[in-house]
Amino acid sequence: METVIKQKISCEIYLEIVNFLNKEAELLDNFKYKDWLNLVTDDIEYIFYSRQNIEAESPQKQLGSPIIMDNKILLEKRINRLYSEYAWAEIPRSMSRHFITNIRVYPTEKENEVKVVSNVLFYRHRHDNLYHELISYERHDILRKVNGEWKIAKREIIPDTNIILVDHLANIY
Amino acid sequence: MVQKLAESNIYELLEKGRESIESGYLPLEIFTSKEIFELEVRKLWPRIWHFLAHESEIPNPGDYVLRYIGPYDQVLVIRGEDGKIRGFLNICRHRGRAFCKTERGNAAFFRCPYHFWTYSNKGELVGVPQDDTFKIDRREYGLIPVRIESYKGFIFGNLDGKAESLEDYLGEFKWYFDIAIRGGELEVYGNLIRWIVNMGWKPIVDNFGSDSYHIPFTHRSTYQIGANPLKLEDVGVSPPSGIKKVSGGFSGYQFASTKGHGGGITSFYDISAENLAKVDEIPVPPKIYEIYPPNFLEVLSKKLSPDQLRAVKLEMLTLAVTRIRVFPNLAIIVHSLNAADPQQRYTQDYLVRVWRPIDVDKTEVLTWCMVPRFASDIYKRESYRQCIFMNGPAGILDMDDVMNWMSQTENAKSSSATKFILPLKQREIEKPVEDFPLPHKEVKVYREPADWSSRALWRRYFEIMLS
Repeated sequence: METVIKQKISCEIYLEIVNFLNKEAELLDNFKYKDWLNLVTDDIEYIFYSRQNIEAESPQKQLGSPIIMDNKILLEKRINRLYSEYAWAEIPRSMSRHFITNIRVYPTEKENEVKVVSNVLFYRHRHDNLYHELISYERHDILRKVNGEWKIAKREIIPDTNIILVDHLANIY
Repeated sequence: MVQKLAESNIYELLEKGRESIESGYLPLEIFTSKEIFELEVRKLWPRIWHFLAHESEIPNPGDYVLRYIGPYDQVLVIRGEDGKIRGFLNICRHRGRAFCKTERGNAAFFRCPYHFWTYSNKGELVGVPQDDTFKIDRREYGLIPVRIESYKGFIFGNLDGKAESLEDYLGEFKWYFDIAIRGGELEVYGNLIRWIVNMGWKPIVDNFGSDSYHIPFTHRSTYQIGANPLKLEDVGVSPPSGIKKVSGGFSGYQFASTKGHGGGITSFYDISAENLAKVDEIPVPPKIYEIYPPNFLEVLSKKLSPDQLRAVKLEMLTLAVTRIRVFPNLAIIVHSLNAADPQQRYTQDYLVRVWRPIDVDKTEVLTWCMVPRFASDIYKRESYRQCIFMNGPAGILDMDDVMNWMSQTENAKSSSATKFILPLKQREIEKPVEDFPLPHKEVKVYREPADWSSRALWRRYFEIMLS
């Protein structure tokens, strides 16, 4: 390997990251979206890509344009909406579970940031539906340490499908 | 319903539908009858002009996209090496396999994986392995063409090849179409976003581009968070004289074409029919221009007639949502919205939407976000960002809309559905507006909200299904 590893990820850091992702999932699966907003930086980029069924040598080359391209302003609106009495897509709230595995943590150029790649299986059931909904995706996160706490500075979501096959994307992924 | 209708009963139901529309009702069971759905595969989808792609998606020779008409027919839309856009069925002439398995790309040739029959991007059969074992004339085995026509960059396909010309199909409504597409000055930003939802296509087209009545109710959450559509006071403007705010819902003007098209210029504000002629005299407050690209009217004045510009001005003065639906399943909606970038405070999104039937309770939702091609990069980006924030699988409008359509679909399957006829009665007793600035012989113009656009759709639907 020619690459110079600038900084080694310690077991301690790795454990912090795993705990962070698990705690984050716990908030999301317990409808605590406003608490989740405290876990993101003011300059967050939250992007859910479309993916295309095209000939490509890598998943990156299959990426299409975003389905979600939120900054903090839009994320706040999206989440405030979920607390409205009129957000019909999530009334009543869907039952969901984020399964997060294959967590890989890499150093970055910045001392206070790490890149975190993980696999996610998102499960959901809503209303009286006779089916459940699954989305499998990869997360590419940049986590930043701010005042001793990890925060999400960037999240890129790469779904394992070229057609969104769930009834909506009203949750946080 | 599990019970199968006999062929004659399907026509009875369709006749009942046709008669109901004339008296202002729609039978609920129409939405999910399996037999009618299958009949649509033969009688509706092959005979209409179906939106397939925009020319900006395939700018270079060899560029192609693979699209569908109806549940089953795959159409390859490709720009040949001669620069001409053609449509072909995605069916190899030899054994009927689909030769193209990617949704877009660039290709000089297509080779069917089954026996390697090979076609050029102009559809000619150019390669047959062991061709000495065949006694065929290759010229007779080119790809089967699909009739394609473009209107100002919008490419439509007609499967049976017998439809009237696309311009005639649009008819007078093309003047209205022009306004939404800014005289043809739009281009696709990003790529097509595909989404499949458990709902039928007919409850949707009854709503989309027609029903402005639902907006303050289904989409109430978006008002609460300051996301849907801008009001004059949001941009620091008080209503110019002759324009007044309506309370509790929308106003504006709705379109209903005898060819089944519909839409509206729909707003929180009302310009009375008497004042329509005076639109020219009311100046557009300068702050409203911040919603548009700086050279907006300058570019449009070269592309649109003075009457069409008057309709655009109506949109600008009332911050209207401009909505059109081309029969049966294409819609274009333009909103004026807050943007989310300090350098671009406001923007408009241009949603181009097709609803593709897959089954009675399964529909593919196709979302193209378009932008004015003459806008700045930042304007385009913010327009796109708002387009996906409002529309598509993560769009805060669409996600609440699909709740309605999924529920209507399920209820239409119930044994009780036969008892329901839905009233299309809004503004039934009102006469069409006579002073609208666009041609209005074939297209009638009514005050919003109304059920006339929906009626126009269903009237045309039953006409085609029963012919």
